[in-house]
Amino acid sequence: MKKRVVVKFDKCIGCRSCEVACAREHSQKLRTEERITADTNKPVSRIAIKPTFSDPTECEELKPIKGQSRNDIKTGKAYPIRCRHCDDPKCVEACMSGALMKNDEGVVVHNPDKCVGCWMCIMACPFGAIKRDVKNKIIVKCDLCPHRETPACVEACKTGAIIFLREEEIPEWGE
Amino acid sequence: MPLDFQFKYVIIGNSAAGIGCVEGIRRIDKRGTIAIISEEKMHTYSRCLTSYYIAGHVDDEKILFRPRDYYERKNVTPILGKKAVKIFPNENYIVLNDGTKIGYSSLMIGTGASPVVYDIPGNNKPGVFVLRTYEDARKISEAASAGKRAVIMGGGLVGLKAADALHARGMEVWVIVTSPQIMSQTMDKEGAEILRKQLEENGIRILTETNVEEICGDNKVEAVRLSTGQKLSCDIVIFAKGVRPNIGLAKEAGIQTDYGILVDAHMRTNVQNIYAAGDVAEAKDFITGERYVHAIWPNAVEQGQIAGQNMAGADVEYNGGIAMNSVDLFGLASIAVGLTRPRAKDGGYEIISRSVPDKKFYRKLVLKDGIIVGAISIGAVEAAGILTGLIKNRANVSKFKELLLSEDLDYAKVVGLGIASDATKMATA
Repeated sequence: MKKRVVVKFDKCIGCRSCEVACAREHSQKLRTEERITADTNKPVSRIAIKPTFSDPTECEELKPIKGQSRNDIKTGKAYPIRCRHCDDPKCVEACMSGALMKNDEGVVVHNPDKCVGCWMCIMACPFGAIKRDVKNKIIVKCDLCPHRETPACVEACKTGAIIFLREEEIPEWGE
Repeated sequence: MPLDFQFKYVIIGNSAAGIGCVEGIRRIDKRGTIAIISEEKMHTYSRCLTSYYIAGHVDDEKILFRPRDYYERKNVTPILGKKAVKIFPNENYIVLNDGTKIGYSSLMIGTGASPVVYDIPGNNKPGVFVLRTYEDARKISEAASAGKRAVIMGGGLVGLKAADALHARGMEVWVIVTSPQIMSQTMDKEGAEILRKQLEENGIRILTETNVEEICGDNKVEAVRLSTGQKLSCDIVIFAKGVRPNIGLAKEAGIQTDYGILVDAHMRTNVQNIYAAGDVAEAKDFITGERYVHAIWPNAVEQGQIAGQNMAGADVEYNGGIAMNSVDLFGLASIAVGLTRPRAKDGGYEIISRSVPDKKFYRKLVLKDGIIVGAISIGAVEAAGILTGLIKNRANVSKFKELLLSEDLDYAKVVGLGIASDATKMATA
């Protein structure tokens, strides 16, 4: 059964819990020892919460209203940036080493052993959803947490902005 | 005229376009028989990884861009180490160099391109190489020897990647470039200067506006004579002066060619059931609408996929190719997409740029009537794909120039501006 992460932007309050959970999930040491100091590499999240670019004066979310986060989202609305596991993934098309493949479940998977750090996928992804691990000369991207029932970001999101649905449950794109 | 074999789909070429074609066919038709023919014996190896192979960063296994069991998994018959020598378009079969006749219902020509070797004295001496195939890379790798000197002719992507690789093998590397700058095909003057500095700081010697006029030596390469009159002793010479499409096979069969094989938006040649894709195909250019050969990996894969889907009965059109290249030289990333060097005489282009020299950050955008048509990113390249997306959307970015030049550009910032293709409320992943 194919399941996908769905992001409801209007529910995101920019708390960045998903970023912490993702970084922790993809850091072997943190998963086992629960100590941020234990890992020599800085843990890298595969998801990023960024503010949209709009006029803060027009942005209702930033006015301190009861029950709202006062998180420092500088302008605009909080927006989770993550891999969408596209139907026609441009990153896979551009990957000249075969490190990126779309598997039978429809997940765009990355094999770090094949990756040579040419950044062709970064050149091709229109969503800017791929990060560089410059130190190891490979990319990092969402892998939909294959070792978990529910992806870490979904589990961490307490506002219902990031949810995990079966493909047939996913509403149509757009308004 | 009995045929030796008959396949529904025959693909000539086992690289990006050929494999893209297999994947395009299999999206639509899971069962139709496919044969893939290549004069090279290798499994699906990546030409873009040949320089990494020379450097010793990838081996015989890692150079493959598809798994070992790929042909079985996709139900493809690989015919490797055999060369297609003739196409009979009226009778729907091809002949291999061993006389085997193979019939097809539809044919995809992905014969790629070959390196251009300039006609200069001494160009056939032992120690002179080109870099295109696995075999080329293997020979260069064998000839590479620490402490010796290599001369690379050409300052494009292949030349610079070769320079990087031989430098990694401990050689002293000189790059001889005809143009006033390196990467003259894809990079503007300012970007090229940044990259040149990066290369020179890491010990690569670069001579621009210089030609190699003769390759000297008795029985093997010993030196090159430059247009400056200087004689430079060396042990290896590599021609990296560009490639030319391999159109001979198609041309001889009466298929329409110009610089490459001419194809329509379905990647179809003038013969109904013969398609072409990749470095050999002259297909629609996204920006100009004219036909052009963009000999780069992503375009070859995409064209192959489109040809394959159409061969299998779908109706998929090609939006057109865009020049794009990404290269990381000594840890400095650079990505150039679309039209990055409009000639002054073309007129009507607006160029905006921003550079932060101490961070080695450079970004440049080329606009025409407010529409973004080209972008260069050097250093922080994370947002390069967003710019690629805007180019493909033909986005009018005239109101957002400063935003797009900012170092910390990310996708969130372009959401809701009406320039990126995006669902504002929801995205699935």
